[in-house]
This record gives sequence, C-alpha cells and structure tokens, in this order.
Amino acid sequence: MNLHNFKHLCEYLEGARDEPPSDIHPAGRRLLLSRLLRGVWWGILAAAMLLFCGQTSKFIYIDF
Amino acid sequence: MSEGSTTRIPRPVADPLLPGLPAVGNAPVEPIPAVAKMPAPGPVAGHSLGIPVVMLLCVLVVVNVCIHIFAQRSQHYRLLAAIPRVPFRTPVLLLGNSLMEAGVDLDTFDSAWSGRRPGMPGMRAAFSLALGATSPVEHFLILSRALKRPIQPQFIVYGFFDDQLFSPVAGEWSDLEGNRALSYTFPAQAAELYAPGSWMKKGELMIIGSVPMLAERSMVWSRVELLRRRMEDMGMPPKTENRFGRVSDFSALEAGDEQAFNVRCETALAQAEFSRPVEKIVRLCQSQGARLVLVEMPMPKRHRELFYGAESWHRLQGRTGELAERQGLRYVRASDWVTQAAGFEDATHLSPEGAKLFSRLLADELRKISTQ
Repeated sequence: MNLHNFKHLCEYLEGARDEPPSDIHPAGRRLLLSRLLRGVWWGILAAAMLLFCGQTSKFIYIDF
Repeated sequence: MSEGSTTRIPRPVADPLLPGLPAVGNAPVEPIPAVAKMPAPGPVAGHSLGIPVVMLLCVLVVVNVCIHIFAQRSQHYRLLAAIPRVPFRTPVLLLGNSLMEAGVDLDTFDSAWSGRRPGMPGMRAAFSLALGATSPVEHFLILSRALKRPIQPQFIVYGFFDDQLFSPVAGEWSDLEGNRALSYTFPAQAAELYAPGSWMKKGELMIIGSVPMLAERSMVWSRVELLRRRMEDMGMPPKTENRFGRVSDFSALEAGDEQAFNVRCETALAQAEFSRPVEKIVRLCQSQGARLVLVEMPMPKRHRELFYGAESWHRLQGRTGELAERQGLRYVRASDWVTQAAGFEDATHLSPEGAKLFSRLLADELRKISTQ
C-alpha cells in the first residue's frame, strides 16, 4: 500500500470518503465494506469521541 | 431517460474571447454525448443504514454497561452504598466537601467525644457523609438520602468555607461532573434546587442520568487526564501531590485575589438568607430534630490573612451568625483553630495531623453545645 492509498484508507475510516481504496486486497475491501463492521467501527468512534472530549485544561477533581 | 439510451443534449459552444467560459445568448450549441449508462450503485450508496445503526447502538450499549459497572467504584457511589450502614444511634453526622472529608479524623473525634481509646471496637460517635468536590446541592441530596432511614443524630455538622453558604450553585452540563454527577441520581430533587419548577431541567437530569456514558463521563475523563499528566511529566521535575491530587490544583478553589473575594462577599451580603440548598439542609435538620452546626472550616494562615482580614468577610460572618441564631443553628468559627503550617497539606485541606487537632477541638465544642 502506497502513501496515497493509506491516506485514502484513513479518509474512509474517518468518514471523509464513502469508498475504501480500490486497489487493496479484495478480502480487505469486503471487510471494510461490511455493514456490520462499519456499525461497530462507528459505535467505537462515537463512544471514543464522547469519552475523550473532556477539557484537559480545566481542573478535574480526580477520584484517587 | 431510459437506461442505456444515447440521446444527446445540447452544450453551449465556448466563447472564443473568453476561453473556458460558455457563450451566452443565442450562441449555437454543439451536442455532447449523455451518459450512456447509469453506473451501477456502489456498495455503499445503495445499502440501507439499518445494520450499521443497529451495530452502532449495540456498541454504545456495551460501552454504557461497562461505564456503569466502572462507576460503581467512584467515590459518590461508594458513599451512597455506605449510607445504609450508618448506625441508627450515631450521634454526629458530618457533612460537607473535601475540607470536611479530609478535616475529620474519626478515631480522634470518637476518642475525644466518648473517652474511648482510638481504634476500640464499637459504634463510632461520628459518621462522615462528606464528599469531595461537591456543592450544597449534593450535600442536601446525601443528607436527605441518609435521613430517609430512622437515624436520629444529635448533631449534623456542616463544614463550609468562604461564601459557600450563600453562593448560588450552578447545575449545567459542564458543572455536573465528577462527584457532582450525584445530582443525576436524584433528578427530581436536584432539578428543584437548580431550577425550581422547571420540567425541562428535571427532564434533562433524568435523561442524562439514565445514560452512564453521559452522567459518569468524568470517570473516563479522569483516567485520560492521569495519562495526559504522566506524559506531561516526562523528563520534568515531579509536581507535588497529596492524597487528593496535585497540590497546586487546590489553589484554584480559592478566590483569584482579595478584590474578587470581596465581590463574592458583597454578593453574599446582598442575599436575605442562605442559598436555596443550604436552606433546605436547615429545614431537613429541623424536621428531624437534629441540631445543625455550621462550622467555618480551618484555613491556612495565608488564606486567613489574605481573605479573612477583609471587612466584607467580617460582615459576612456577622450575617451568618444572625441567620444561624434566627433559625436556631450553631455557628462555630473554626477557621483559626489550626495555626501550624504543618496542619495543612495544600491551600485548603488539613493534613492528617491538622485533622486530629481539629477533630479533638470539634468534639470538645459539640460536647459543650450539648450541655447548653
């Protein structure tokens, strides 16, 4: 995979593109296009976004 | 257009004077081939969103269940779980934030109150309901939960500092995190204190409270923060920490300067009574027949000299005394009970040594009050 395809793949994973790179292994492409895995992937992203969006500059009382 | 047809649609001829732009007006047009065939729908565009959305929701449910389980270890959950274990005949309940939590050594208090040696088995004289990083709203919620059981304390000791008895308490999304997320456990009561009569607020607290990922978000944030701090500290001199966290963080709890403190005092003086949650605490104690003792918590010399020397603070103390007397409460000025620097471990909290001294003096004071 060259740099162009890697960038393309990242853009697909982050939702900037609708299609994964065309010249990857067909099995990998099928995996990327799997509706099941896309749901899981976006579920993980949604959870991660919500959980890691805390303001780190603000004082947080940490439960030690 | 039927699929596969080859109809031709007109296209304007380019203007020779402005290359790249089509001619305008009645310029002749040249035909261009239309798309001969619609492309087959791509693997993404044509599919329903049903399965991905269901999978996304499944992941979110799993994350919420994990956070709910993880949150059982939080301080406020542990305190709520401990409330059913408060002995019915406990004479003293301690209420407040981390100043009270750190400030009372229960063994020393017990020894000074009952004359028993520290560590001896038996019912303790005091039970601490104090919880760090909380406001009077959470203090009321904790106390009302505790007094739902037939506990009949003789005294409820409420530790406060600065203008805490008067300052309004915010309950917005950005405020209710950490231990203050306890408000989500009692949405109806909490909403009544943040926005009386507001169904919107009650609904907001109920909805957020039913989603652990939202209500307990700071459980994960704090772990991320610890990771961030570890990375930030790499190759740097270590920052001073105590049992509550970074010592420097607690300076942020104080007013910025003397002027800001005076403004806070003047704002408090403009109020005719304590803030709404404190008034609720007062009424709850009265309804249970317990004596509420308001204790101005010990402060380091620096804090007392910088802020408590102000004329506005003395007037606020006077107002607190008046309101306390009017409602049959006791007001104990303990801010100068611990004078040694070693008695404090940061800008506001008592050290274990300071806590022992304060606990002994507090028990003596309560015994004096009980004989009056």
